[in-house]
Amino acid sequence: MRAWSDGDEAALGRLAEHVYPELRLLARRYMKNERQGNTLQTTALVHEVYLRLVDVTKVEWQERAQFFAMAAQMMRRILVDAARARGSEKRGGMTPKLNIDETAVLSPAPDRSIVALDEALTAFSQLAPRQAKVVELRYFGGLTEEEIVAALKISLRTVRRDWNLAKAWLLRELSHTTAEPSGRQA
Amino acid sequence: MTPDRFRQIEELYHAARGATVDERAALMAKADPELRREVESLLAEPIGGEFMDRPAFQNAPHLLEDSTVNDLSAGFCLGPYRIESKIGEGGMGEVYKARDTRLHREVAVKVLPQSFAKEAARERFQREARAASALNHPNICAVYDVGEAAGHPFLAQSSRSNPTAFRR
Repeated sequence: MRAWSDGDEAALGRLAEHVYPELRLLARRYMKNERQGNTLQTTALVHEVYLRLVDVTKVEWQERAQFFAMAAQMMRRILVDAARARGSEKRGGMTPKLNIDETAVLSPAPDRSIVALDEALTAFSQLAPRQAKVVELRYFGGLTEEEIVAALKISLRTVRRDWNLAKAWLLRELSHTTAEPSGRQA
Repeated sequence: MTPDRFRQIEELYHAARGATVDERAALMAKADPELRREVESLLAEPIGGEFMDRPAFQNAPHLLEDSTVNDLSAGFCLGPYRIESKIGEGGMGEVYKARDTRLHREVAVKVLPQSFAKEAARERFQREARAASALNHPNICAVYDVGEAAGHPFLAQSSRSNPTAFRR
């Protein structure tokens, strides 16, 4: 962690190796809590991973924000990989376990929309890298606006504007991709 | 689309969002038709209450569960082993009580999650199986079988010992 804050890229990679399994494990534990009626907080999750891996007293706020940004990126990968895996699982082989009561109310087709959003976001990042990063941090990482300000070193106003535009952009893209042949052409 | 074009869209979008109806109409009138269409379609998207306002994690919490846990249901057959119930789970897999349909005996089957079913994890799993099978001790479960069925790498062990002995 110290090496990383000194700008060592390899150290960042090593840290990432620790973060990924931690994030997964904690996410699963959070899921169990959720079942028992506790509310799920992505930010809390990311913070907890952070606390487990880092000697907080030695780290600046700025580094903390960078850490959250990395965790958000991983969360995106974890969720998208899982959504993809489930998608292919449904097409052949294993019977998937369906939690209809829990997930149907949250989103009509969460797996599909996560994969579609990920793809739209990747395309969007070619045009607007900063705006796309704001979405990654907020939507996938669950970071607060203040944390995004610190991670990207931009103003609160820019965070809000970027989010508004990016959200409209992505929702529009998603409505293109999910529309059936009768829908409008892109 | 070019980054320049994107910047024009962005600029007009933000200006139009903060404008009154009349101001917006005036701004739009100045833009070329394609730019106007782009910005209008963005402005038409809802501002709040969308699924994106909740973090992905909350929208699809099941993804975190199902991707790492197989949760085989009773009656599912992993090769010759018919699953009866789950005994436990840990970071590297789940343990089920199962029946060996050939030898008609009860076994404990440890199943590696599908998401972990990559080369490295599989190798580690098989190494563990080889190591365990080389041991013979009352407190260590005897390894009967190691294999893969329906995409699940598994390990069949004696069910006589404490199942927690091979939880992680």
